[in-house]
Amino acid sequence: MKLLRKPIEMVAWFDYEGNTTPVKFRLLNEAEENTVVKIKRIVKREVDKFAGNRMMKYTCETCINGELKLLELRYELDTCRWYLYKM
Amino acid sequence: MLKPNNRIIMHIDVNSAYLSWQAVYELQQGNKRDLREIPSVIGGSIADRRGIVLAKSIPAKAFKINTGEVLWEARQKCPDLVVVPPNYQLYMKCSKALHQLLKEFFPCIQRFSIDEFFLDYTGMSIHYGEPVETANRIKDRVKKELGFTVNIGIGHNKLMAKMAGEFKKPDRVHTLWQYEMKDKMWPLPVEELYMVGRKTMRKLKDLNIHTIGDLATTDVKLLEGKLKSFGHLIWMYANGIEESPVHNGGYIPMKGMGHSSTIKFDVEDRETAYKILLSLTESVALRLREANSCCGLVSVSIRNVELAHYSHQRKLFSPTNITNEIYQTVKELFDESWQGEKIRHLGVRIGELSSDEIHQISFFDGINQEKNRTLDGVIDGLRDKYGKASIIRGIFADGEIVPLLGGVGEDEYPMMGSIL
Repeated sequence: MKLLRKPIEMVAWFDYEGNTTPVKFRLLNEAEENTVVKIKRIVKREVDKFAGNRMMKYTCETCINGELKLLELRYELDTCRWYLYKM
Repeated sequence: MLKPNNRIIMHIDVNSAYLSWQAVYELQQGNKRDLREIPSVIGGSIADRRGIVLAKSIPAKAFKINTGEVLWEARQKCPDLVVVPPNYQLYMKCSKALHQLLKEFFPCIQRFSIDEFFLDYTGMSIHYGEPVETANRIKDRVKKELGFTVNIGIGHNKLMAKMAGEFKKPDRVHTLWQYEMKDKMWPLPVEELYMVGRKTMRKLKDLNIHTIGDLATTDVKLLEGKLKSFGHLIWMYANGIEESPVHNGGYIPMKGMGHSSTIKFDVEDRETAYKILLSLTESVALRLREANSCCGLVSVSIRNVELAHYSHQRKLFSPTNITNEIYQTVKELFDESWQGEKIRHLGVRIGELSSDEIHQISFFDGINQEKNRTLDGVIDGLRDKYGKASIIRGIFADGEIVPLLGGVGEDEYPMMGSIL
């Protein structure tokens, strides 16, 4: 996986227990077009507290152009922003 | 009652705090550089003339860059130096996260400054095991979870723990028990001892005291003769005698408070100087009233463009916490001491604090004291509710000078004190 840290727009599901699950997101590609990526499976979820800045880390499986890909999404709790961190 | 030597105190100190916090934050944000591995410093803005080194990385230390040094000097020593501006909000966040983590383990924690904590480990070995093992565990957990490294010092009292924390850095655990004192602490140069600064060091060198061991074995009467009660204090410290408890909750008895600021431009006229002094007085008086105290001493300090520093102070006839009354004295003091040269830095300090519950009325009280007190109360209320900038004096309306000068801009920022 390569480090990208691209801001993305996210559809996520927040359940009764306070768990957050990313569902699908879109980002602008090189041609300024929106690409939608659906998340197939969440492999791992962790909390990153580095420097006291809390971030939810999700390692997910997606399917891009018929190819199974692993990527890391991050949700920054203080700013409520989602990032495509690694792909 | 426990014997003093049965206490176990730990001191936790973040290694080059500002810098490693910034480094970890940048890494988390996806930056590739690690500030800790390149020559880098945290420094104030040169344009505002606050361009000094606040923290440095270990590679920067190799270039002989010192904390407190002017930035351009540091750049001369290392042309490729990376300078990052300070970010106090981030530091507060990091400090809080560390506090939170420690609270999971220990009930008794004293926040000594933004990056230093004391904790009382007395009687906890039954639950957590040997102090050194626990310290190592905490240190590794902080590194894993929060990403920065800490030094932990362990001793029988706060002083020994703090001294142990200053040994080899980074990412280490050190002990300094009573029996190790002679080997580990006494050979160190005397300026390494807590509370011994540049000035005391010079006085001690005149007495042919060069190491902490020299100080500890000197006759205490000689030190008292030269340095009064302070001589006794540092002699006790050099012998590892110190018994203050770990103040849980962060309440530290204050002896005085003050604000000072380096000004962006050279102040040449009295009017501008007054404005800055008023702004500083506003901040100090606000803090004074927040602490429910009155002050009995006011002092003004001036640093001119040649970096010469002088100050002037006066005892008040009766203690007060009214902004206008303090400001009146501040103005008088300034007029008496200012020699008319260009000013670079101004400071206002107050001391001899007492409780504000009782007021002694006298014939010489200022007029409208009660009105002023009520006014201050209303202003404080507004500032508390709507923020500090919600109500300011008309004189600051042109925006040239910040209405409440001094401090780091973070309300809860814990400043390090000289009282253990």
